[in-house]
Amino acid sequence: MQWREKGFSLVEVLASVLVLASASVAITAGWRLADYKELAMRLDDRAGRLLRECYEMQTFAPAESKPFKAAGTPNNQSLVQGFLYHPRAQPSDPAQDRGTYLDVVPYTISISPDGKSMELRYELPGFGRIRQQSMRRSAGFNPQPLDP
Amino acid sequence: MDHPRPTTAAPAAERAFTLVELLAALGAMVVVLGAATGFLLTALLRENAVLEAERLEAMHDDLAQIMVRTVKTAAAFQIYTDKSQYHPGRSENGVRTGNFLVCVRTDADGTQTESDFELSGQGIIYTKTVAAGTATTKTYANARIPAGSVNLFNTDLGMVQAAWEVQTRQDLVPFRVCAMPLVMR
Repeated sequence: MQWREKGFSLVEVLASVLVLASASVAITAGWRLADYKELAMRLDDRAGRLLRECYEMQTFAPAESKPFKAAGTPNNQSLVQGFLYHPRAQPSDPAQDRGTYLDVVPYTISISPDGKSMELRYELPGFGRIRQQSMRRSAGFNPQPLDP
Repeated sequence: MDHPRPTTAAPAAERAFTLVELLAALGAMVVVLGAATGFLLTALLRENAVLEAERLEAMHDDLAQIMVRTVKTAAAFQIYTDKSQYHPGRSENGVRTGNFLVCVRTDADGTQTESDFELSGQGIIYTKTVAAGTATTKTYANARIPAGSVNLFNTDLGMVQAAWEVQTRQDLVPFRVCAMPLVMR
């Protein structure tokens, strides 16, 4: 048989199909890691937004509506704790999807004893071999109330 | 006389697969390719939803920052139930809570900038007009009032507050803005 007439054998074709399938699975695994990193970034941004809001309230709201009392104890629980992530609930039966959302990744905001800074803490969920991590974001108060 | 019996076995180089072998191989290929394609399509759809959610959140984060900056630097502001209640140039008869916020800022050189935020349908419309000239308008889609709230804006605590939620295909992103105008500090 001339070399020009040679084709791929069935085994070669099957092997290449397997390689292609494995590659597509590997690509999607990469995407999932990218999604996780992107979610971590979004949660960090949200933490920053919540801290800015809490800071503004602590600085300008009337005493009875401030998130923290002068002693540093929480005054308004809804302002100092909550959830950072609200993923869409996905029931096993799509017909039962009523557009409800879950509350995950709880956070708490605390104020330093001297009242000069605020800190937001949350637990970033793990992914694959990446372990769950404790995250912190803080903002310091200036003598003149300005943005953190 | 004995004649040699003809053999049906072909030389190794000319052997082919049987129909059963071919069908089995074809079946295996269909299963593997089908699974891989399904997996890839699901991942693509998910990736698309993630990118859309990221874009929407970034857009509304941008809006929240514009809102805070605008309120803080406003020389005058007013909230109206809706846009129809507002008569340009006359900031009066405002209410404590509503879906239309107008802020006016005067720069050192005397240039007056008017910024409006309006909840309209499923979006928030931001309009900026400099020196009564050209207006720049931008719409921030997929916004809704959170459950338990009636309007987008309020001044309940003596400061301007806004609360809305952004619905994406992935999650729900709450936004809360509170800012004290410079003139009220």
